[in-house]
Amino acid sequence: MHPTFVQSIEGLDVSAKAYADDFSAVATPALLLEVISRLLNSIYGLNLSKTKLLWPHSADPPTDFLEPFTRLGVQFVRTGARLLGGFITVPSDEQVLAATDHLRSVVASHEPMISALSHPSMRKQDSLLLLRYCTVPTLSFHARSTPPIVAAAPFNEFDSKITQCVFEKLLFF
Amino acid sequence: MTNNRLEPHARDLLTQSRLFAIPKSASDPAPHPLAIAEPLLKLANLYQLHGLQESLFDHFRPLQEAVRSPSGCEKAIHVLNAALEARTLTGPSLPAVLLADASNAFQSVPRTEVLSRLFEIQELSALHGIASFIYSSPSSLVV
Repeated sequence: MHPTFVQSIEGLDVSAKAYADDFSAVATPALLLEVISRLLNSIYGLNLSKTKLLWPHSADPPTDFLEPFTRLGVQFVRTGARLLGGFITVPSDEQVLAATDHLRSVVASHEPMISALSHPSMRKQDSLLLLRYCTVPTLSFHARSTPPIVAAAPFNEFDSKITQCVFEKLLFF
Repeated sequence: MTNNRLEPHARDLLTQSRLFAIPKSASDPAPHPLAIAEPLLKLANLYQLHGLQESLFDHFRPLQEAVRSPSGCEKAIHVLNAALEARTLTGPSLPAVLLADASNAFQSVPRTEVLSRLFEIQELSALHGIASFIYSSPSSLVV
């Protein structure tokens, strides 16, 4: 896929990164339309129903902005979007709130795991090892890829859940 | 394996993969195929990749972060967020972000195309033998 991705941005003022087959680019809408067109003409093609266009700004997009993308079937999203397990947006109040909400949902997704590890049937040693090596490291990725202003509150919630799980295991069973 | 000199029968055994169907994520619970390769084959791959760090990095940078780029995901997230912020503050017009999804990227390219592209890259000649060993003929999937 590498040559295709390189050709899709060649000669354009676009900031882009690829991770295996995931490709993301930042530029003006007109340039992004050209990138999409080049990718569509490649041997791989694009899954347009899963391709998204993010407009992260509080101001509404220009009136003629959306039409070419919706005609292609590209999803349009506002505020912020998931990117490679992290989140992409601009650092303004509304957008920071959206990023914090995203991280809260990540923390909440650990509930079933933490609840299973706290279960009385789970042995202490198994529980603590799984907690240390399988549960906590998933948030380490977000700690490295998310600004503290976004992450502080959700991480405090996560810390409390982990601490409670450890105490339940060490003190009560 | 690395020189592609094993008997066809041995090649068939070493290149077969165990196939699993697992949900991709909580939001996409439909089963997706996942093929687990033989550990010996992975070991041979790692052996050949050892020492090619710089060549691979040179070939794929600055765009691709999945190949020999430590913490590549995090780099991509930080670079794109920084680019978005910088272009928002300084650009002549507000930027947008394209999050593209390639169609069935790992299944749609013929193996001959993959091999011919790889064989054109002399800096990665150390990978030619093992790539030919793995991809020159179809591999079995074991359920």
